[in-house]
Amino acid sequence: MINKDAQSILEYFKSLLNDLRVRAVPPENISDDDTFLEVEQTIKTIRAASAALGNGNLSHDIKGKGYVLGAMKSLQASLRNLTWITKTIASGDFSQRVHFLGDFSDAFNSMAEKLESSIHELEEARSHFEMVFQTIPDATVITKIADGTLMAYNRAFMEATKFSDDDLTVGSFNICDLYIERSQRETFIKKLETDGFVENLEFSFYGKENDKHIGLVSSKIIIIEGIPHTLSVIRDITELKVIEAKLKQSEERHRLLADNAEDVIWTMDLEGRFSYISPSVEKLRGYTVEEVMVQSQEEVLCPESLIHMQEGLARAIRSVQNDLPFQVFRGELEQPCKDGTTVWTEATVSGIYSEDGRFIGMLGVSRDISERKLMEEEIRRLSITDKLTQSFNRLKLDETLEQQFEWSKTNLSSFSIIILDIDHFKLVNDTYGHQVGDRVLIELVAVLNENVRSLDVVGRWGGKSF
Amino acid sequence: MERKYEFSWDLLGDIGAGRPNLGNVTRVEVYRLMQFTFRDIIEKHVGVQETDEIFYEAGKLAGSAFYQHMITKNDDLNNFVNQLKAVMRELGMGILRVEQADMEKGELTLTVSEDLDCSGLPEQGYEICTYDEGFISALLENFSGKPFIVKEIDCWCTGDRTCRFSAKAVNP
Repeated sequence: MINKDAQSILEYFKSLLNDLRVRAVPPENISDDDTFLEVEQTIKTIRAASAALGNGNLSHDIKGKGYVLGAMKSLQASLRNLTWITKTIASGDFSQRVHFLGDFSDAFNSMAEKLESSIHELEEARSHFEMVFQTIPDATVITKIADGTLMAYNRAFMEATKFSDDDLTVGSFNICDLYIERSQRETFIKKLETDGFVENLEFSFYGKENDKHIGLVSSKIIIIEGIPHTLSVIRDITELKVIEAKLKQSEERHRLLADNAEDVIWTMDLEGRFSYISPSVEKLRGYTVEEVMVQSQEEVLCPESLIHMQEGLARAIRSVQNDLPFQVFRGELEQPCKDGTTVWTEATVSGIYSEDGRFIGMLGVSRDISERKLMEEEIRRLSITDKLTQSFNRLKLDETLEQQFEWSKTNLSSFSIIILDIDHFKLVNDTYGHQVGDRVLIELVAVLNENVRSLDVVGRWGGKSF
Repeated sequence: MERKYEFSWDLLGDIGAGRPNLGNVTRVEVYRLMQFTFRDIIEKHVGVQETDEIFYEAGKLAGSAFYQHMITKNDDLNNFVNQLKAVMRELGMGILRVEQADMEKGELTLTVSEDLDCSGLPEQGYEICTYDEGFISALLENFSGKPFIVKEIDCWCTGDRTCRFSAKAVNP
């Protein structure tokens, strides 16, 4: 049992230690006691200090001395030191470490090391991105999606637009001002919002001197500090477009010529397949372009012409394989027609080369030479035919003799010649006239032709000799 | 005044050569025995205040020599603190911690735990680390180029568990 005052003091200290609001009061007769006052002050200081530390208030001044207050000051000192170390780490100095705080030291130091390595990794990634960003050969920009504010650009962008660093103030320059048509910006944003990316979208934009450019933009959404941005790579295709237009124009012109030419113009790849045939082929052979495109070489050329053509092309291709120019092939070829007849054409075939000088195919022009062939045949016929009797003339007989001699020598065989002359033919001419004489000669040839074998040759040697 | 005992770092001698068997380590009691006997005799000769001033000044001389020989000159506070922490720990001088540092204002609060001078001493009711005060002020002056006044505000001898020093630049 303790007395009432002691009980009252204990109640008071208990309340000081445990209650949020201290309602207990010390007995009046002890309130001036020095020891009581010292203990009361220490408990009040502990109470205030622990409340302050509990609330994270490290600037609270812990007044007083003694073991418990000393330990609290030590705790406060450690927390203040941790705060300072954390601030130095936050400012980028990762060399600070915590020691002599048990497991906390290890945990904190591991965190600092991890943070340092993560920051280094991030720095490396940032530096790598910066390097890639700057060395991309195409114009590349980062802009805010919301308003088009330019946040970053690379050298290629400056070269493409002719803007300088002074012109392109990051944070105020607006990429929207470069669009020639605002609607293209709207289409771009809409597509970006729908798909999350844009690929090769064509748009027109101004350069610094209001020069117009055409670009292909590819973009992705990236988030920077919580704000959506676009990372856009723009390929300037202005020059390409001009070349493309010229090429198209040139191609159309050539196609027009090819399509309307009398000659058949065709191209063939290295595998021997047609890659183009002009429509005039239908007039030449009766087959449509589509039909010819799928025809084999045997269907395109008569057998002898096919051999001739293949030999010629083989020679030409061998030249190419030996790093020599394609040997232009020229040849007369007989081609089958849809109606079963054939047509003679003169083909000129030359090589097609790519821009880098590679042999990639053949270009051919086939001209109808049927009439010329007929004329040549007629000339040939006339050159070996006796005008009066329509039998072979002396020229043909000489040729035939030559051939027979050769054949005879080769085959060790003999052949026979009949040379006949009409006796007293002058009397017929003198008696009945030359017209009758001519008729006699014609009749004689007819008689001879009727009485020789199909292999035998009948010709007029000259005058009245056969 | 003709000097007999002018300090130089060389006076610390070649300890490796001189103590091949006992080495470079002694016990803290030996250090304290010498310091407190010095303090006793000096106090008897010149009084309390002057004794404190002598210890503060001796600390400054030690701190300055220590900085010149043990710290690599660097303008960065964090680097300086790191070096100092490491060397104090290595030499068993104490565990240095920075609570607060504002070099622009020239204000720092440092603590030294397990201090060589006073940790574990019986409670005296007064701060005793005057030597440390001078030592720290010289370190800060050598680092920053500005003179500092350092005052111990908490000490083992006053019942605390760590020595806390408040440093203020004379001309921030």
